[in-house]
Amino acid sequence: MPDIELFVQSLANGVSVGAIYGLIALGFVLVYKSTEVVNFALGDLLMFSAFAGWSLSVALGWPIWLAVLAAIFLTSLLSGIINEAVVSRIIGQPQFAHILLTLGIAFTLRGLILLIWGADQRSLDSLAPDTLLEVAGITLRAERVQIILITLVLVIALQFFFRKTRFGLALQALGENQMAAYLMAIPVRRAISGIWMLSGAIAAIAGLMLAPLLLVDTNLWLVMVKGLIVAVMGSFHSVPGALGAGILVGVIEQLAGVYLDAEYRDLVVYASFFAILAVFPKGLFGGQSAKKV
Amino acid sequence: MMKLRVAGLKQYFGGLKAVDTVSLDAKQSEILAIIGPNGAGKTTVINAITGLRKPTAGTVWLGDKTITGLAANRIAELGIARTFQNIELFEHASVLDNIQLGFYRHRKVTLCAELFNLPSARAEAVNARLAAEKILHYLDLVSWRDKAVSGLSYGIRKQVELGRALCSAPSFLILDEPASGLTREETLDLGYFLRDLAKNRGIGILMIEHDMGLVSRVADHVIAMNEGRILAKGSAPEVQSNADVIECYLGSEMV
Amino acid sequence: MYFDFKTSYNDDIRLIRRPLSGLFYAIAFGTALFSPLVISEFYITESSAIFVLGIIIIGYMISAGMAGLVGLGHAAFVGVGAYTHAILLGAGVPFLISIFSAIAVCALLGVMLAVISLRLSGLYLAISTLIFALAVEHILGSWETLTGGYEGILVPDPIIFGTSFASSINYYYLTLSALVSVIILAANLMRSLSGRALIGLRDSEQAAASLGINVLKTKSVAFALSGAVTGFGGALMSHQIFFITPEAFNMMLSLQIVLAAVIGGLGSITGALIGAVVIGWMPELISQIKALLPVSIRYQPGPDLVIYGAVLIGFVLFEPLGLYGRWKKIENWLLTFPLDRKATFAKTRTYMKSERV
Repeated sequence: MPDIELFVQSLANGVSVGAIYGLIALGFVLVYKSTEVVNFALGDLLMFSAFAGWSLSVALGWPIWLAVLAAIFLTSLLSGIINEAVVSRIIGQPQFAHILLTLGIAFTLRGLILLIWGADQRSLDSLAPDTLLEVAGITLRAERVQIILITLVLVIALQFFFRKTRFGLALQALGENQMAAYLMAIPVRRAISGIWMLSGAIAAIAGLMLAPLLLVDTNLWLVMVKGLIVAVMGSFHSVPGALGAGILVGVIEQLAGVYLDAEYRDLVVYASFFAILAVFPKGLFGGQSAKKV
Repeated sequence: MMKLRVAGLKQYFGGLKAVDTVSLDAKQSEILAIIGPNGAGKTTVINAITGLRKPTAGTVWLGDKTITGLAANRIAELGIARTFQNIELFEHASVLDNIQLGFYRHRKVTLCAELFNLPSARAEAVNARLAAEKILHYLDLVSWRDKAVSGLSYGIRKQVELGRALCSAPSFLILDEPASGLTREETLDLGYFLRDLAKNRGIGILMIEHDMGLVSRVADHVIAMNEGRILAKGSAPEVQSNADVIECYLGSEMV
Repeated sequence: MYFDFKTSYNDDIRLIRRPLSGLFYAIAFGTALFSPLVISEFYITESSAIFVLGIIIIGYMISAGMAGLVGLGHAAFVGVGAYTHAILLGAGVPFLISIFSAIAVCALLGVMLAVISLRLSGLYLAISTLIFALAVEHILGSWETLTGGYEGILVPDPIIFGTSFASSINYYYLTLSALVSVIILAANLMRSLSGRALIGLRDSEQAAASLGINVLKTKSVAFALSGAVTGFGGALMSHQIFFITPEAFNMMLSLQIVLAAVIGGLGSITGALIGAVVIGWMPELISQIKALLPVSIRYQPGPDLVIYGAVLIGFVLFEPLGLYGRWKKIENWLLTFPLDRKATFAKTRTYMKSERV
């Protein structure tokens, strides 16, 4: 394979994996911006969506598109329930409490998934046909192209939602000042649940696109770590920030896997994470630093 | 007698000239007050002096030593203590612990001595406690000694913050709005403490204050600032009668 | 009612400030000292494991509880401590030199973590420590020439000056003395100015700097001390697992350390010890619970995770100050009886306060 083609292909792979990381990061960012909670259970919600998708499409034999939609809906619902039942009870407590609480939820979810589905590996089909596409002389798998397209559409829709719609603007206000939003008659509680459902749905979409690339098993939640790295690099801030940082991490990871040893892939990602934080302690898209006195 | 001198201090944030060429002299045993409307750049000046932010240009001397741009902790070690506009206390520690931390700049023992609780470390712990007790008595905070700071009233918290700064036995004390939020009685007490600290204990005080009653009672010199520049300098009556200052506070049509 | 009566400042600096607590410590220590004569071998081994956990959790408490540097990756220090010790022992280095080298390496690792996370705080710090631990685990796994990779290495028996501490009763006394030394060092730290400086760092960095505290140096000291103590625990722990692999020091261990700190209550040595006891007994407890479950799921890893998760959720929701905090409330009630006021520990309704800076 000529060098340039290998490079472009790994670039495309990097972008598609990075788009998924970006989506996971987006799941973190949405909840963080409105409530300053980092939902460490997001990886397990993502894993749940993959298992649910498998159960519906393989075990129950539903058509794949219906199974995918249903899995997204179920994950979103689960995410909303988690917020209503548990997380919303400790609003106003220090960040540390939220980290621990969502970690606890993560453990519980992971344990339940293990109980229900067991530790076996399964494979899940993708929505896209298993064919190769020829783009400008470079062959790409349809699956990869589909990931990039879906992510793009989703990101544009979210941008429109937050910039133009009433509810989206209300959510933005919530992120700025919860008390003020409450006084402005924004239904804070319901809005936060909405955000959690949205975040869960995005994680589910990421999970259902990721699962066909890997396998559906109980290590799938580990991809959350990459999502966290991306969210931090993108400063926990914006939709484009998360996507940009996601693609950066995806590309770094793929290129390191191809041109260095595959064993060092994750290490290179970790190293670049610390390098970027050393230079930009607030992430690549961070605003001003230092507390005002 | 040591002086704290600031010459040609500039602090720009991008295009915004928060402080533009400010010079001032503070002497030990004297109280210098900076007045001015919100956004005049007063806090920015003292943040630059105490090393919280490196100034764009200008020099700060303590005695004949240049301290411009040193780290905040280095400047504190040299004997400049400060308080904050919005109270920066160690919320989850007791009043005593807060005030004792003021003693930190006099710490001489090594970490190792502290870990093994050697006699030197024990002696220093007693010294810190003694210093803190003196402050507690001086500021009449004894009854609050073991209370956690987070539950105290605003006035007491201000006192504790002042006490913490005093416990470092500074040669200069920089106060950011010491009387804001205090009751009339508390403000009167504060005025007494400030006079006593300067006149009887030789501490130089640089304070930002809006309460003109307090300023005209205690300050030896007053500087009025607006939009990052110095409008007027002099004694309190001089500054208060300055036409620019009146215009700045009341608007020109009133003159 | 109970009154504290003090006559000198030294009374306040003493470790044992009340005659009653002196008695309590004496009983606890005496029990620890003599119980191996009566309890069975199984409990002796379990107790040693709890002592070692106690050391590790005190190490975590120094950075997380005192300095407020909440990390999610302390397994890295346990792992590096264990590996350094095992490798040096394997190379024929005497026990004491080996264990102090492990402590030094972990202190250095702590400084390294402080340097790379120098300007980070809060959430970013928590996440970067998590990533740091993953990176360390990865390196332990792939540096095969030194660590034997994922195959693991054997840990030689602890032999100090010709005496073997491999038997469970000898090892019990080894870990007990290690724990007591660590407790005393940590207590000394907590009553010193440096210890207060750590607390200052936690509550307001700006104010700490304005008092002459070098924020970056103090952060490094916090991580170095925390790393050193945790690494010490890790080195001792290696003798319990005999054969160490990188997986022994994965994210699960990090989270168990955090869980223990939360159960016990952050910020006090007693809390750390309570946490160690609970976490140490958790596997036992879980196996008891699992015995009640239907056979089909009795041997799965699922229930463990659910129980760990539920405990964590329960503590955050209902007992955020940990068991030690609960005990403090009871103690306060006893000491002030009958003048106890419900409002002392009452919570007010809160809104989200931004911790973004």
